[in-house]
Amino acid sequence: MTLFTHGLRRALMTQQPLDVNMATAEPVVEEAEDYSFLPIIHDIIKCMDRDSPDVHQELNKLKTKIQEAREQISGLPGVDMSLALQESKLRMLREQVQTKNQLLQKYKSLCMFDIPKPS
Amino acid sequence: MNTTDDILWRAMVYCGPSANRRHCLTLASARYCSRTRTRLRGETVMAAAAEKPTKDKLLSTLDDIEVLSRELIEMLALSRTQKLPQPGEDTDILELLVQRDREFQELMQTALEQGRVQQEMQALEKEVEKRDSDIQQLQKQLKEAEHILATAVYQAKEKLKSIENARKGSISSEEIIKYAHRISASNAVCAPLNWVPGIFFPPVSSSFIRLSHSCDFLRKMFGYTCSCSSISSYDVHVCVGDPRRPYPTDLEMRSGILGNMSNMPTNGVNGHLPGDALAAGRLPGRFTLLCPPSALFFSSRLSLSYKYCGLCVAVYFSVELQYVYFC
Repeated sequence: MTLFTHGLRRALMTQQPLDVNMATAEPVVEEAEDYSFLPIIHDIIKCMDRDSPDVHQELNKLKTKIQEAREQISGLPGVDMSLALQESKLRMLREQVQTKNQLLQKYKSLCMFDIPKPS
Repeated sequence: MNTTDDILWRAMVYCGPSANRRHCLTLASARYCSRTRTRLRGETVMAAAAEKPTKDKLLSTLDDIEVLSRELIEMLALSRTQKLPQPGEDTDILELLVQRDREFQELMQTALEQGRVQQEMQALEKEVEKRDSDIQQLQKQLKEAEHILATAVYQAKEKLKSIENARKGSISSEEIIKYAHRISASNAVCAPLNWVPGIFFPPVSSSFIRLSHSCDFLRKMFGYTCSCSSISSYDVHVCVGDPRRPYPTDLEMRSGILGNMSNMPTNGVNGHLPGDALAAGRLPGRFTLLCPPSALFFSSRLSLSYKYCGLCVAVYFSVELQYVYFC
């Protein structure tokens, strides 16, 4: 059992920033840890090692977290398509806006009549 | 049926009815792990071909994590009581679980990024809608301007045509003035200055009067009722004729429509121009002959129509080419 806890601890530790340069990634790491299930699994295994009565509580936590993650995924905007497809759509929309702006500018400033110069 | 039950069902079918749950689950997880390893290798190849939506990837990864974590926990629970049939299996499951967890986190980061991109896309879509409505508005205005210009150009062309037609059939003003002078010179337009109601004959010699000294002679000759105004010894002015006969004097002509043409309102009377009402026979008032009928035969370019209304003779005639004589 201790091998598993060691393995899990190592896996968890690899996710932490190793030096100061990665401090800017802290918010990202914190968010990553929010979505990680390894800490809960690690807690479950520890409880199983100690034969703690909190095993069932931890198991319920894991189950709840998985369920919440599912609900959160269902509510996320923009995930109905892949990233590449979304980027291409974004590019297309930007081009559309640019084209329409140019079109409007062109026709608003268009002089339809040739004004004759006074001789 | 979720992934775990599906795996379990297949394991039980494989093992047979006598197999226990834990054994089946162990077998099932082993097969699942090998399948997952194969899938992971193949996924990188298939990724380029057909990229799944991020949502599907997330849900799939989450399911994998759930199954693997459940399997791992059950395996650990089993290992406390009995020896594992496959010793390296728990390590494999652990590795897979860690890998899946890492993937899940990356996918969640991608999903959050996609959420931000989606917000930007929504803003751009609103921008596109606004531009579309601006373009439609501009299109409507251009269409309206085109319609107005087309109407103006058409009307201008019609005016140019009528100007060209008028130029082709133009009459010099001198000719018109000469014609008017001829009409008016013989007292055909209005009465001479010394005219009174009735007809004046030119002065006759007294010898003729001595010969015909009674008005009865004149009545018989000309058929008019007559009255004698004065008899002098040599020049006799005889007034004969119908006092009811209309013969406008110069004063009456000048107080008529032609004389007051410059004073008439430009929009006409009750919205109708004098010419329109005159042509329709609706203008009230007395009409006076401009010229005796005989003068009309001088020109074949005149057309006229008479209208008798009581004691007055209303004459409306027009010259071709839009010059109108009326009174």
